[in-house]
Amino acid sequence: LRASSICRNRAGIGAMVAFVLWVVTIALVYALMVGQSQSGALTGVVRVTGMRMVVLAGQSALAEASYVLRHPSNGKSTVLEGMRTGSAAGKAHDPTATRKLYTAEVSAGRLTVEPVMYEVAKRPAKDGDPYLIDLTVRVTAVFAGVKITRQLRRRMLGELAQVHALLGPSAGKVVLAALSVHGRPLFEVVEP
Amino acid sequence: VSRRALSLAEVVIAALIVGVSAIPVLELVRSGTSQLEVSEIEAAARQLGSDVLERVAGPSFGADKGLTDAFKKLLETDVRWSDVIKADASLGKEFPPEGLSSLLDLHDTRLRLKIESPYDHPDLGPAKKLEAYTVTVSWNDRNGIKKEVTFARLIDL
Repeated sequence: LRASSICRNRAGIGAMVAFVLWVVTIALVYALMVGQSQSGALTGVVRVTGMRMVVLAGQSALAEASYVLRHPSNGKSTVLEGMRTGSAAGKAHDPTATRKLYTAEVSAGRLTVEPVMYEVAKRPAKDGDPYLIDLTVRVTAVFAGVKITRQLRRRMLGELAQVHALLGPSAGKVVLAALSVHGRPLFEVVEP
Repeated sequence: VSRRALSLAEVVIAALIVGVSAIPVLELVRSGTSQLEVSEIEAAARQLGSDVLERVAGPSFGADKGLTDAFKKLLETDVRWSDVIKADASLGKEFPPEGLSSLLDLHDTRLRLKIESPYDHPDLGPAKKLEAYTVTVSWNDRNGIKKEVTFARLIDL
């Protein structure tokens, strides 16, 4: 009788230990699931907000570059020089004004706006027809451990006017050139 | 020494004691598995700021892009986020997303809008046909420390 009583007591303690372990295990698994799901949800929001900052800063840099292209100081621009010398691509503008607007993010290393580059997408078959000029900028945002880099491309329509000298030692050479760029871009896209 | 089996009540009480003691441990596990350094309010504030900037700097804002008088009064001052949304009907359409409002209110989220027209910068030459739109969102984090983030965009007129 005593032996069976001891067995029953041990079985009771064992059941209690098993029950407590079961509760603790379930709770730990639940906490792990909650933690992971919160991480997942926040990762999504972080990616969206980080992406938005990348796109907004990129749009700003492209607007700045196309503005400088349309209103060049002293009528000169790197794009015009590039087109005159036959260069199909190069640096168009350093977006310092956009970087200044994002000073806090840039100085903390959370946002990088690279120089805006140009590329002549299409040269006209004959003089007077428009050029297609692509402006591109790469922007990187680092936020809460997530790094997002995108390239924004804006295609502009431009017309190159050149004046050739008819007489003198420069006869036949271009003595005056101007690039007229349309205000409205043909398109603007975000690329990987 | 006589031993007896534990009653059901004793088992439940023991489990409760263990369960309550485990709460801090569970919180540690939960926070340890949340791998991001961002809080809900920061994510929400960033969403608000970028959304407001997209709407303010977008082509469809206001009547003919004109700013309402109510909206002009809010420029360059720290105001409650909801006051900005109320100041112009075009900002409030389907905004903010459901559930975001209470979170933004809880952390005293504020907005500061700045519109510089024309925008002047030494690297931009003499022409004055560029506008700068800046939206700064500030909030109090869970420790009561004020934080802020700025979104900006230049517009080539």
